[in-house]
Amino acid sequence: MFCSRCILDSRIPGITFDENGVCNYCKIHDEMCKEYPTGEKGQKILTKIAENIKRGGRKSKYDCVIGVSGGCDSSYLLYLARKLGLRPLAVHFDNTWNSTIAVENIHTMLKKLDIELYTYVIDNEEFNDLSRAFLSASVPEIDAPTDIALTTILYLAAEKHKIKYILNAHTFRTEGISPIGWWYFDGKYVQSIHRQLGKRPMKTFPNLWLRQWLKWLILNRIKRIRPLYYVDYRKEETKRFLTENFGWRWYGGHHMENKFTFFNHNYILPKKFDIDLRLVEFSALVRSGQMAKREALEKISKPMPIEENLVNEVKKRLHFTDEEFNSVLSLPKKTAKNYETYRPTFKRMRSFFWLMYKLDLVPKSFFIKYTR
Amino acid sequence: MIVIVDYKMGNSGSILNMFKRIGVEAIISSNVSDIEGADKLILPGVGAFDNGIKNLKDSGLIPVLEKKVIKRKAPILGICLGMQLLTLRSEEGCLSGLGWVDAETVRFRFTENQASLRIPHMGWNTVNLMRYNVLFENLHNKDARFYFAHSYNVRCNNEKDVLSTTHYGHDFVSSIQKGNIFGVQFHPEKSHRFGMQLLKNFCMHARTL
Repeated sequence: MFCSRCILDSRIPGITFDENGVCNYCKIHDEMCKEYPTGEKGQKILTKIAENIKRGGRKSKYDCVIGVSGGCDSSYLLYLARKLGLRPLAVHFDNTWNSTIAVENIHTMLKKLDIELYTYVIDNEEFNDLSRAFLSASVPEIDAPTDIALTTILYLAAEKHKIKYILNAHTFRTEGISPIGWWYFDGKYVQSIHRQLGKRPMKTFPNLWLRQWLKWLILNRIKRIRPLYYVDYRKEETKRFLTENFGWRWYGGHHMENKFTFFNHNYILPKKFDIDLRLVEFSALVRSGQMAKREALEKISKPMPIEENLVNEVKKRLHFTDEEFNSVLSLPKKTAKNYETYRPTFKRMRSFFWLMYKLDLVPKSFFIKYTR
Repeated sequence: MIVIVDYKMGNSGSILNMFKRIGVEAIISSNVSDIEGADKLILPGVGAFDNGIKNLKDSGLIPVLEKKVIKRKAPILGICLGMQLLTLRSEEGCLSGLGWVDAETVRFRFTENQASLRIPHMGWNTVNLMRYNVLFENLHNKDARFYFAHSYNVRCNNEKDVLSTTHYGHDFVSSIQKGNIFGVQFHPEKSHRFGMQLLKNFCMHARTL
């Protein structure tokens, strides 16, 4: 079945339709729109949040941490933070697969906004080994090490500089809500895959251990906030705004600022797992009136671009022979359920995480997806 | 000259017979030059969506049809599956449609107490016109009936493309029109005098825009 509003259909896990043919992901979107209003109401909430952040950071050099990738959303968040009168510290996790444009974007934005940058570079052989392990594990979450590491270093930076707020650039209005069951990742998952399939010791990879995380939540009370939820965020206008005012450059597609992410989105996910992430992104844009349904359907019917060069670069850097690479691609598909994770623990701690969500210490999506 | 596009998916013969009856010159053809020279086109169709679009692709006629319909605005009438192929996609298959009309093809969605309704929707039914169009000239009277045989129906994203609806469990779109592009869910070639009248209207009145 097709959703009568967005472009999702019955192939999406966990999808249901109401009597008007509208899917539950559209419903979630509408509920979130109510919970996170934009316009005047949103502006008021945002001002309030900014006041709290300023108050919390009176004694420190910085009052919030922002993870930056050089992408559109995090670049805009830097600008918004400055506009709100905040003193952010930018944090970047360099997984050694940055595109040149991304790095340039980070530096252009930070220079113009006068924001300091802390970069964490992982040992590239170690990261390649971990990526190779994830590919060999035959799971769709090969980007998990990057996401986990970024989260960890945001907390590390916050702890070090006594900062109470981490600002995240997620926007459900343009990025969408990824289907429950498409993926799952946590620190233990990274560890169990690394133990089974990794060859090098984990030395520079900043994993997110549960005990450490709980300490940051309970003792340090570091909150995670998504300010773009309160802004009428429009992708195309934002890109234009950043280009005109900051000399920021567009890199050709959502999440394509990083070559490894690009490889995952445009090659591994569609080819091996039959997952087309554009469905989620375009559906969000259709729901929030930023793309016509027709345009979305026409765009989605075209295959995603992938350069043979990039595939070869991945093979070379991850030390795969053509044969090994092809056999990894044809391995039977697995999910996080085949490996050890924190999930059983998260489930047991459901009521604790509900409290954490209510106190703005973890995002709502974490509570919804990870604790049941 | 009317050209009935032949892509091995439809009852082109009975459509041709109807044209003979109303005295209009028509041919069945899969020839590029025939299609290029046509005044108007009929896109027939019986069967499954993916088969239809695949046959159409394999026949190599899509470029010339696009040139004819989109660029030169030649009137085209899609019949049954032929109408569904004009849409962006269908729940019946996984291939993209022609996408000439901003619409999708979906299953009938019955509520529980309509479970006794059979699919396919088969037999005679009336149409409820949403607006005036030459295609239904002299067919405004209440007794106009058409013959349906389909399991899927078209859902328009643009209300203004809907020409008529028909009730079966719920109202569904039974004909569409967007500029020079027409589509009917029923089979005019099986709808006796009403179908004849409709085909006559298409031949006489539908003009190149």
